[in-house]
Amino acid sequence: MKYGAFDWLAFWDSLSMNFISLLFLAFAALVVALYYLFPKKIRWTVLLAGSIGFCAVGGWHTVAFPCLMALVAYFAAIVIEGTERKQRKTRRLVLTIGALILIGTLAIIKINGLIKWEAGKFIFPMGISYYTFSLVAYIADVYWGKDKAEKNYFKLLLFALFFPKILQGPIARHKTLGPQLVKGNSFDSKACIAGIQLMIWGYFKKMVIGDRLVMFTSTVFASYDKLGGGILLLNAVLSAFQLYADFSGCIDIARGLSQMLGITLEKNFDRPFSSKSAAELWRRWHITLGAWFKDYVMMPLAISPKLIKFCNTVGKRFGKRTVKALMTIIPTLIVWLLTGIWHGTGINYVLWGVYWAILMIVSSVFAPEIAKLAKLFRIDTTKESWKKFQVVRTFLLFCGGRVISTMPTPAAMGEYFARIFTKPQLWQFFDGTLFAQGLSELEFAISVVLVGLLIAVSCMQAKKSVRETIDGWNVVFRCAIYALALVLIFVFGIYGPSFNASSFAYMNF
Amino acid sequence: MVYSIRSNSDTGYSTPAKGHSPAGHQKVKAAFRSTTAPKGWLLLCVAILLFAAGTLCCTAAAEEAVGAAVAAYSPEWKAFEGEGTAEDPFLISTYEDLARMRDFVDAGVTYKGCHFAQTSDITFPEGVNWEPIGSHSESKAFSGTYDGQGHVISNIVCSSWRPSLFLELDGEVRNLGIESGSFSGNLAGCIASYGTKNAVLFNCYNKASAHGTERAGGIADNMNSGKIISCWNLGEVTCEAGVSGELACYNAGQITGCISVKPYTPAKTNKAVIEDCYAFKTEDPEKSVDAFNRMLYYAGVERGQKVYYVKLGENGLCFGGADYKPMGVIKQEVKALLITYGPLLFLAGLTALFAVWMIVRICKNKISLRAAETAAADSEPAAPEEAKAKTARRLKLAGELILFSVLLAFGLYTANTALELKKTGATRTVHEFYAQPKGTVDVLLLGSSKVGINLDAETFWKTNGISAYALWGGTQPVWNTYYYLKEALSCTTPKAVVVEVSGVTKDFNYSPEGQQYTNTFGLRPSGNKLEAVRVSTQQDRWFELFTGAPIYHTRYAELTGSDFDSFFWSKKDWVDRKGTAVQYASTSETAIEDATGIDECAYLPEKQEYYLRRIIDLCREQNIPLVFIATQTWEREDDQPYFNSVQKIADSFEIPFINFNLLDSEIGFVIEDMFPDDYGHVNMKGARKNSYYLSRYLADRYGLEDHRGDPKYQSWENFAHNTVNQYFTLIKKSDDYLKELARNDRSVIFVKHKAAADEKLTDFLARMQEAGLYSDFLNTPGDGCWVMESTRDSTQIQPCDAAQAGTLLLDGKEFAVSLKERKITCGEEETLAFESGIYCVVYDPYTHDTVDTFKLY
Repeated sequence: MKYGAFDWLAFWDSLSMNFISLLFLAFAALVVALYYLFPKKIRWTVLLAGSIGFCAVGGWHTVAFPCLMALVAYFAAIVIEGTERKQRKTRRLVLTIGALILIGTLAIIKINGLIKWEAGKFIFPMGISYYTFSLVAYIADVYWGKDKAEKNYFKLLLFALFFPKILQGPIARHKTLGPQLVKGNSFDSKACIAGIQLMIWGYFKKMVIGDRLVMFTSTVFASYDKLGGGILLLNAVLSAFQLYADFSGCIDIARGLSQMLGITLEKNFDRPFSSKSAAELWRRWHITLGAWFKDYVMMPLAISPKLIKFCNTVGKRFGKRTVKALMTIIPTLIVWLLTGIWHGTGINYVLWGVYWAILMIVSSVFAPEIAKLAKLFRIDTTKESWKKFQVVRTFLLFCGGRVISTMPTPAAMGEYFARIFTKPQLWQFFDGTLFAQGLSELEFAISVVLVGLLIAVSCMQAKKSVRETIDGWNVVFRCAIYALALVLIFVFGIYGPSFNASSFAYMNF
Repeated sequence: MVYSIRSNSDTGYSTPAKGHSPAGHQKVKAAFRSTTAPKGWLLLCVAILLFAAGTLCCTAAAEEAVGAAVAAYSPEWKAFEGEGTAEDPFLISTYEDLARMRDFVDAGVTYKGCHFAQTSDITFPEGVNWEPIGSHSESKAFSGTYDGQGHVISNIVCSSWRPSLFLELDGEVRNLGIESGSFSGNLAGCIASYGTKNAVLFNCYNKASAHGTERAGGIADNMNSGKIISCWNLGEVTCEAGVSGELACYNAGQITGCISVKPYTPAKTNKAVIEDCYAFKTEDPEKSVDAFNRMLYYAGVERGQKVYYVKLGENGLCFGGADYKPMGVIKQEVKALLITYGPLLFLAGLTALFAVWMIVRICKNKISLRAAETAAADSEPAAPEEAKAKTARRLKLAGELILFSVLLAFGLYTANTALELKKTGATRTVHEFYAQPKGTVDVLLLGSSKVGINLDAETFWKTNGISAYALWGGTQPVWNTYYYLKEALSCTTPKAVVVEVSGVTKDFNYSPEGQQYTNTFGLRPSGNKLEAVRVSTQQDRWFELFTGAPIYHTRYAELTGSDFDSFFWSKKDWVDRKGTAVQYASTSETAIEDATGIDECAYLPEKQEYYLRRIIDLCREQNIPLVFIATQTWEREDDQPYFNSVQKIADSFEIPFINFNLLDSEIGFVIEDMFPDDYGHVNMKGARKNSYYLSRYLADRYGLEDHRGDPKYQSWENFAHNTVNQYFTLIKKSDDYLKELARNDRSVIFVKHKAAADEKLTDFLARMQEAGLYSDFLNTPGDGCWVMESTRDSTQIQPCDAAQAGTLLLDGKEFAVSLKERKITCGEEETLAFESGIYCVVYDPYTHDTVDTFKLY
């Protein structure tokens, strides 16, 4: 062909590490098929080859970083395990240096991304935040004797690179995931179908709900200084749903795909918006991240003798309660600052961390006072309505956090919150302004229905997994609901050139 | 690392170590032993290979041989010394040469891929106002390479709208200097006024003055995203509107290594990438350029050689040749490298150190490693299950999967069909073509909207009983025509193919986005469609264009009832449509250019010509007669040179080419009456004239059969009736109505009510007679109602009951006429309500429908 000849280089360049493409689905299907076609003993090599192939799409550095990091973790773990327990210093030194290399690289990457370099191209290895944490956890677990060192470097590399989880997590633990990856799972049609079902729901959440809402939220966040408080409040609420749909959608795709391979990835979300307190919210939202910080930062800090000593000396003057409070405040503050920085390096993320830290500290340190207040106002905390209120309050707090992390400067953030109270301009809901923010009336109506669906599914999940519920239905309904979901993605999904290409919200961490 | 290699070569590689060995050395060995069999690595390689092969197979398409080379058929444009290649360029040595080249570019020869070289300094003659080369249009831009070879042009005086040497530059100008002269006008740009993204000005300079009323640039005016490299300007740049730049003015594209002299900004610009440009800070610009030239001389660099980096250093100018990089640049590059690869280097370095440290410790036996544990190959014992239950479970699962697939397929089909683009002249026209009965299309009309609108398949049928189908797409480039033809030939074998060639006037490699969709979406998924898509758009859009859904799935917000008539259970009348979409619009009275006497040829856009030739090849291969036509256009003077080129190609293959632009008088085409819109679409009358001529031509030349009356071709009869019936409803002039009645066989009920017998009536009746309809019966005093069973035999008139009310029978239907209530009713429906005058009710006995009512007088 003189015109329209296929250009492999251009094709390769056009690929991207993204779940939202038919090419990815074809790739995933190929990996699954090959996985079960190979003899059990070497099935894991298919996963490794597939993972390297998937990462190679993002550029060679996307492969190089995890390869080197896994090498560090590999040596560190083997040496730690091989050193006798008596040689505490050596073990500790190896742990510290290994962890520092990993975390240091992550820090450099993050800082590098923050600075607007005049020359040079900043390259971001996809998923580095996720596998760095996984590998650090692995070394630490080996150090504590909770996990065994992996003797085959390539098996550890597969753990770091496993392609369903590399983009947006969950932050896996080697102890649970590692053996599953290399085991050579046998084909189970039920698990496979359940995996497909989960993937359908994931794609639905991401493509139909998340990407639709983001058209509204990104417009409003960009022009917050021209809009009334009513719309801004609505936007804060919708942006929470948007983030949930987007992030949990991606996680469900990853989990569904893994389930097809007979691998169980940890749960990352457990109906987060039904939480009654900030602490509970973070046990239900991005569970693996919260757990990581709890296990590898919070706990070591809390039991660190130095901290206890420090708290005792400082708090002595103010009594026992202060000592106890300090023991909570200091680790909490550190953890949340780090969590903020993990999400992004701007000042807004630091503020976001402080925001959550304050919420946590207030609720735990001042628990007695709060209880007294409730008594003073004669609030019956056992009533269902009070629990409902708690849920709504927690959700709104989450929305507030979302605004803080999204607004680029503290001033903008202040302006956003101020507008909600000082300039509600509620008429903007009716004079057409609402429908000029990226979603037309029809699209807005669809979005409202979709958010309703999201909430309804959440409520259903409270009793039983939705997939199990559907499994109990008549076969026709059961088939129809999944077929319908796919048709709805086909029609209402946000894809193609008429919509701007969107990327997963949690992909750049 | 050494260690691991050694242990790899161990023969006991695959046997997992068991238990603890006493020596630490052994333990280390064991630690590095893997439980993986070497076979695993082999299979991994196989997996990678399989993966690669699979991907290859999925996308590989047969590469076809390059078609016939583009032949040059108009030799004048290359009448320069030399061959125009890079090795042997066309030589320009005099002002006349340059002017001649200019004239060809103005005529549309873009010289794409051609090279020119100036062999001597050219002084322009006194008193001549230079017309810039080319004009502001893509098809008339200079696309070749012009190498001044270090020579100069002096005494150039140019005063025009866009004063410049090259008005629109799509190619490259290098090593050229303008020594003296002046450029003045609205948008002054000295060497090039307007540059496309391909434009490059390299190592040029200007000393002539530039004066613009709106904008002025010392080297160029608007370079868009073109490049200005190593150029310098010494001329005075002035602009009344204050928008001026010493190098470029409006969009400055990319400016690299340039020197500007007076104002210290190299470009006043909207968007530009400016690298290594330097402005002299001196009171005396002449001096600094002298210094510059002296430096060049001392360095042994003569004017015309590559000079990349020129810099005003601490001690004056410093500069270098192609390989020279000033320290600043090197520093920047190192910095860029560090930013890009720094984190990786950091990680790699530390990893290496760490690894070495660990290995050293391991080797020194400072660490005792526990032996690797045996990973028991887990062979799950198969649960003893009854085979029966297992089979039942599998069957159930299979059934469920089938049910799911059926539901999904149905859902996707319904959604996709409803959302699909349904446009006449795009997808619909092709879908309807697929619905045609096998082997019935005798004449295939192909091309752009001009085929659908300027030709009328109904006339083909009416006059010669030719079954013609217009398979067209709006603004269709020739490559899409080619694939429509290829696809059509895969379903049917027409007796003649007619291709409308006006697509060749469009110089682009890809049509605008919308037309890419409309010209490919209609095709069925097939190899042809894939090829059509590949040719029609850039690679990254192939998938979208091939599937279509990513583009049209957002139409859910704009669906109407008519979007739901395309399911396989609801598209019955598709067969009765033949692609024609003639318009009945009224006429406009704009003057039209005359094409006669224009015999120059224009260079056809390469891609269009390539596919025009492939159409010829395809028809010759399949032995199907091919006819080229060009229907009426407004811009006949502009288009005729292209048509002349087509004529030459057609002649060389002995293909008839009918250019309707030259046949106005022969076919009786009246411009004022038949030319309705700005896109070169004629109206129904014009379409009929064209079609009449063309159908006669085809019938005579290829002996096409008359299919009228053949039940196999009934859809054409249906189509003809539908088309004309629709036309009746749109005619506004009484005379046209009478002519149409006479032309087509219909039943008519005439009603005359309170029409005074005066001169006007007589005149009307005469006109009716003239149109070919018997009219004497209306020439009676008083009111009345008549039935004309067939306009073919208009003398057969039956008067209706002269009483106040009566009933008349037509095609088995009862029409109640009431002169008192002044209406005609058929059953419950009111057919016509009339007042004074002469009315008619047109009835089509073929479709058994009342077609239209009209007040004739």
